Amino acid sequence: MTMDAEQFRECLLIHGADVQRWPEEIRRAGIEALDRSLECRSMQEECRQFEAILRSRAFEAPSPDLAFRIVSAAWRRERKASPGVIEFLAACFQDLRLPAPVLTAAAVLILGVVIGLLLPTEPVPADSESAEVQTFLDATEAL
Amino acid sequence: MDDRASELDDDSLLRRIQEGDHEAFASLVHRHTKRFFSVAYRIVQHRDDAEDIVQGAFLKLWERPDLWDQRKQTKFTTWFYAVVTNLGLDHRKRKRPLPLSDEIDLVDGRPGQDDLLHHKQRRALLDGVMLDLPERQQLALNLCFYEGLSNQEAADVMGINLKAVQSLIMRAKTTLKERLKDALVKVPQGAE
Repeated sequence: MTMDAEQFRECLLIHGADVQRWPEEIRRAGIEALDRSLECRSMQEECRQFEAILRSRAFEAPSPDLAFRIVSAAWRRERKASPGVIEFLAACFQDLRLPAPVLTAAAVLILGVVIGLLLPTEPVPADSESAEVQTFLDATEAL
Repeated sequence: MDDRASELDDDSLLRRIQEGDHEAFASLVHRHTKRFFSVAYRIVQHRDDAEDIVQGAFLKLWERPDLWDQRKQTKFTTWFYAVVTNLGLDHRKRKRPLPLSDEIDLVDGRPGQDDLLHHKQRRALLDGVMLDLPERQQLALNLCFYEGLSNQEAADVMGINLKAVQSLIMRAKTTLKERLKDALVKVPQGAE
């Protein structure tokens, strides 16, 4: 592929003055154009000066603690909660065109069954509960 | 910060963030804050505003990590550049631009102040012509020239094709060259 001066000018605008950083498929043609054409070398120099001007644009660095502030702010925030049981059941029944009292009764009934199934059949020994609390306290103390 | 989390790639961190992992979130934030601040700053030209935009974007990610859909095969950075860019452009539309001429009035008669004036004038001039460009041209230039994204990455961020990005960059630079050429002749080279 041979690159003429007009194509070289377009590539300079699109890919910048550093020909070594041009996409591989046009890099060699760009280097060859520079080797054989004074006009292309002149355009490249002009492009370098133009880019130096663009780089002089004002820029401020972020506060050094920006990342820490973002992380702290996130930890203080609750994530969007998953829908509760009632909301979940309401969503399940919303497409059924039933009167509101019937829907409420059905939701309460299902909730009751679910709670009933989840309850332990035997009481939790007091020792076991306090052991779990102690484990939790030990873990937080260690932090 | 968790060293193990900092070694993970973005996709793995995001999977852990979706499970509520704070350390993964912290790693992702520390890894990318500067680059996203930079693109936000180029759009709004104000440090505090740019910081607010980046913070807002990351907090949205923390609250709704499900918004990042890995199945779409988009790189996290590409997707998040688009998020930050949109927030920046919205912010700029809501807020009136600051007068660029303020900087130029800072000159006094002390030695060396001429160079400072010229430097500030050139910067103000550059900001002025840059902000006069159409929004999409500015964005293409910011992403490719200032942020160093490839043309294809910029195209993905902007949701347009490669040729369209290249066309935007060409038009932006051609316009800038024309406008700066005359103006910079009137403002002598100052201290850089």
